[in-house]
Amino acid sequence: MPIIVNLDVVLAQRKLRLNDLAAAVDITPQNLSILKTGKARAIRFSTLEAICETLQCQPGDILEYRP
Amino acid sequence: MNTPKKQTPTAVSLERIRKISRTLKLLLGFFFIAPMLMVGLAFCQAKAWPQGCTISGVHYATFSEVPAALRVMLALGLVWYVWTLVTCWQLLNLYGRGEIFSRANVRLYQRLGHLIFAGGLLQMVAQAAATGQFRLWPDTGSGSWIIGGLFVVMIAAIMEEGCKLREEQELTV
Repeated sequence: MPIIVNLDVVLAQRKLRLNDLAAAVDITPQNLSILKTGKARAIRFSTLEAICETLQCQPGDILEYRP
Repeated sequence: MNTPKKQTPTAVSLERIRKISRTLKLLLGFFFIAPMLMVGLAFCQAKAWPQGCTISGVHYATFSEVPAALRVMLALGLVWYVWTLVTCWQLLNLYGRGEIFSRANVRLYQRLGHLIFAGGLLQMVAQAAATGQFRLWPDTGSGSWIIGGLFVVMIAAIMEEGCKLREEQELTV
């Protein structure tokens, strides 16, 4: 898939665990894992907003387009 | 004091589907499986033909009078009957587990639609084998099976699209 999710990179930089992020953005760790591993087909803006707010980053820090 | 957990609308619907599938399984067993077993048992004990039997509108005093072609049709009909029952039972099992939109459901619906369609064709051919006359236009009995089967196949195709939508929804974060 051309869209790469760099969530694990940002989590490592912020020294945050996946479960903590899941609790903070109010989605299940399983769903977050789907996003982290690149299996997600779509992401809601509300979820992206919550992740960016928690991690204090831009969407471009998490999502990358690599054709 | 613990407050009772409120069920979501989806959980309530799933529970209703489970109850209906359990009831349907009971009815299936009572109206279709049990009579089939009784007929099979009576046939094995050669007690099924005391006053003869009427097949597709033609009366036969004993089984040996039934034409070979019709016997083949009866055998095919029995296979069809059992296969359809098994398919319905498998479908109800899936509904009982709460699986209402899955690839397995779609496959079973496709199979059921093809079986219903084949049942209509089988009726037409059995009628021809029994009476010796082939009617190009099906009667209301076999005609409704043929059309019904096509409807079920169409519903299976729609369910396949539903499965894709569900998978899309499940993988949306």
